[in-house]
Amino acid sequence: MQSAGEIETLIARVALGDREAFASLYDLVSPQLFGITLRVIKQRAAAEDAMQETFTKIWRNADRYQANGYSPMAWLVTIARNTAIDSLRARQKVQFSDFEMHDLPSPEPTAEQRVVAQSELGRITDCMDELQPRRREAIRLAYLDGESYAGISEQMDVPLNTIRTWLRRGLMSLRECMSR
Amino acid sequence: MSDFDDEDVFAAEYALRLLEGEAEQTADDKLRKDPVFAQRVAYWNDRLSRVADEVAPVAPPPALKTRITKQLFGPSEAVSLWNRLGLWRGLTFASLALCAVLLFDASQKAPVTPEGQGGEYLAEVISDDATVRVLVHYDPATQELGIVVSSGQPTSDRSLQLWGIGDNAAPVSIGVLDSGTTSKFILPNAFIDNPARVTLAVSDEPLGGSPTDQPTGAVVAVGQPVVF
Repeated sequence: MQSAGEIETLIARVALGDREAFASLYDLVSPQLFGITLRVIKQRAAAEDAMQETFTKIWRNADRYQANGYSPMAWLVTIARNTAIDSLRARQKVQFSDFEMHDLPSPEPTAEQRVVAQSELGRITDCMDELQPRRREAIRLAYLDGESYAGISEQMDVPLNTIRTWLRRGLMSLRECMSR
Repeated sequence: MSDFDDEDVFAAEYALRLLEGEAEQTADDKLRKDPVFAQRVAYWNDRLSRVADEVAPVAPPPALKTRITKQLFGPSEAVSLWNRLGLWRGLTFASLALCAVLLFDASQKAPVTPEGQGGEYLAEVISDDATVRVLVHYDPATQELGIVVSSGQPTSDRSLQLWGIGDNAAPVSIGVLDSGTTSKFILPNAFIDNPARVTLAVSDEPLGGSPTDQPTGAVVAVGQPVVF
């Protein structure tokens, strides 16, 4: 995982219109952002289009990064994820194949992946571990796969209202845990 | 459990993109107008982004980076010397900026005789910023066009292609230009009767020229032949 300082510096340079910094930033973070994008969109061509949109936003909005209090990678991830979800939902409006839209649920992270995640202020990962498994799964489906309440309900085969409750309670637990 | 309120959960749901329809619109609005709410949303996005740490990186295809940088920054440094007059397709003649044809250096060519008497034709096809200059010489006696790219070579993966455009007609390819040497072509029959009325244009194409019979690349220079 790249240092936050390095990414922050690149973003600051991109904000000044530094194309080389943009290229370096792309090289550094695009694999992670592409992974995240693909996880949501699940289709290569559309994911590549979303990546183009993501990096366009990064280029155009780098000067607004400092203003909103995100950690640098979180800012990039948020842009990528939101762009991916916008794309996914736009496509879902015209495509009816559930088969295409719902992949097999992805497994929980391995122990090794969790160690890596925890190595840097991974408070949320510890807190996620404290959640009841089904609530954790619901949150992961929402965050990583961009699933709607209806989609989560379908995937987990649980009524919609139950999912809403699980999610809200899960989020409240997370908040409490993270503020300890 | 009661340290925070429903608004925090609302912010979290919004960050998770779980809100739909009116609820989402309300939140969009709130995000813009309510800085405290905006901060809550930022908090959630920031913390939740660590959930993505477990996602394995996937190297994007190299072509994607090229696509992105091209779109954001325009053509690559070498090609950006070209003055792009805009994509050919869809432009009418009236909208193309016809540039002045410059006098050809008389010392380089034998004296020419006036038009209509079998005279030779000369044209310099030049882009607006003068970085691309293509000299065209036409000898009606042989129907031969001699063309020299005097400045503005294309990059190694691109070619310049010369086109002739008659009145109200689609461009006709004259040929793909060599770099650095004189290219020789035979003027297409469509233009033989009245070479002076032909508009010459140069476009930037993939290596080897347009894969179709029409320009696919941007027009980089336009000029009309003048007889001296």
